[in-house]
Amino acid sequence: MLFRKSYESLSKWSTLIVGVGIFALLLVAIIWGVRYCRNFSASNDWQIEDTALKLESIKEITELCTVSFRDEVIADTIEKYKSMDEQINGNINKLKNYSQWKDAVKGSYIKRRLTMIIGAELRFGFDLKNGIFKIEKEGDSSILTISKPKILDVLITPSKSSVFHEDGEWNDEARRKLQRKAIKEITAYSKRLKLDEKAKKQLESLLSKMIKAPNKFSVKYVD
Amino acid sequence: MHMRFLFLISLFALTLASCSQGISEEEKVDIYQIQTAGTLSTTEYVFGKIVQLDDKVWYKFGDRKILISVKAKVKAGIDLSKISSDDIEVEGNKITVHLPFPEIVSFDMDPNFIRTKMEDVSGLREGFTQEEKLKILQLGEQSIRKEMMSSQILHDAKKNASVFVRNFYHDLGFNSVEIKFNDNEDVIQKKL
Repeated sequence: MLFRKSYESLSKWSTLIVGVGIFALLLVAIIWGVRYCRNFSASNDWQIEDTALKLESIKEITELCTVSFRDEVIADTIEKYKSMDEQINGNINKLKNYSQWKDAVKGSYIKRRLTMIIGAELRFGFDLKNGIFKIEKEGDSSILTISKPKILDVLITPSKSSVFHEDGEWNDEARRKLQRKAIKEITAYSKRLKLDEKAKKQLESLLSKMIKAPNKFSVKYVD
Repeated sequence: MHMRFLFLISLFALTLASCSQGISEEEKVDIYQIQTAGTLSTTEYVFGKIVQLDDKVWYKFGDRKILISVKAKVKAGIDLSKISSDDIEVEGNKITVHLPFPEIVSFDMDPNFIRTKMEDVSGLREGFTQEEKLKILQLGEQSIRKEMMSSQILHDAKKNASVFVRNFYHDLGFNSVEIKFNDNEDVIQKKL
């Protein structure tokens, strides 16, 4: 009798374990299937249509870049829930979206978040067309008068940028704001790097290569 | 019994959910530092393009379409740091300069000139995320970089660079300036 009872109990347990096992396998298959489809659909196979490249303007410029600096900036924007009610409702709503349900289960206090890693290049040097650039002869020697160096460009391209984290819906202006923030940050950082001195030194080194009598040549920097 | 069953399933699902996806992207190595340069930009072209994508897949109900207008500012010129003392020959008042061949010096896609002109989502599809839009822009950038090479940008850069260098040496007191580009074909000469 006792043996029969324990056999029945064991049989129930084994049925439960097998059931859970099958369910788990199905769940894994579904999750893998969803992930495969998401990865498959995402971008890897995208091909943009062949549209014409339009030349909008041509400008003659004369800029001598003598120093360049590259950096990666992390730009982040977060919107938090304002109340507990909003947080609970928000997290329940997030459960509807596959990509957000990890945050929803955690009961995150973050309503939405966008984090980007933005690669930027700062080019520093001399604008010879819009600034002052003249060569004067004084007997055997020459004097080059040139405007002080400045930031020529802060370059940002999509290929050097990536979205690290995106939670919630964001419009294009949010992305642009982060990119502008990155430009501001790298510009501010460059001011601490004493690029002025480096740019001047490099200009003089270039001139000494281009002019075979560097002793007869001097550079005057003006504002 | 049912509670135990549900608990086990929830636990399993949570464990799966917490597993993060592996990094599949190829790692890129880049050195971030201050670099000395010597690029003389002489020409600036602004290109415009409509980046158009039609995202249709057989296993999803509905499709997505997007049109993004972009502008790229491209500067071309010569790299003066490639000039060595052997590239400059002086004979009295005559100077011969061998300049490196023009190249693309900078490429910029100002975020302020990137605009989504049209976005259409149908069926059960979701709108484009910012991550997806950035990927579309990356494709647009690749396309511009490839197509711009068939424009006259390098030719103009070459012409403007030779004018600048010639004037520079003329101001230094040379009467005759000969400019050669290192592509061994084109010799631009002007006796002053």
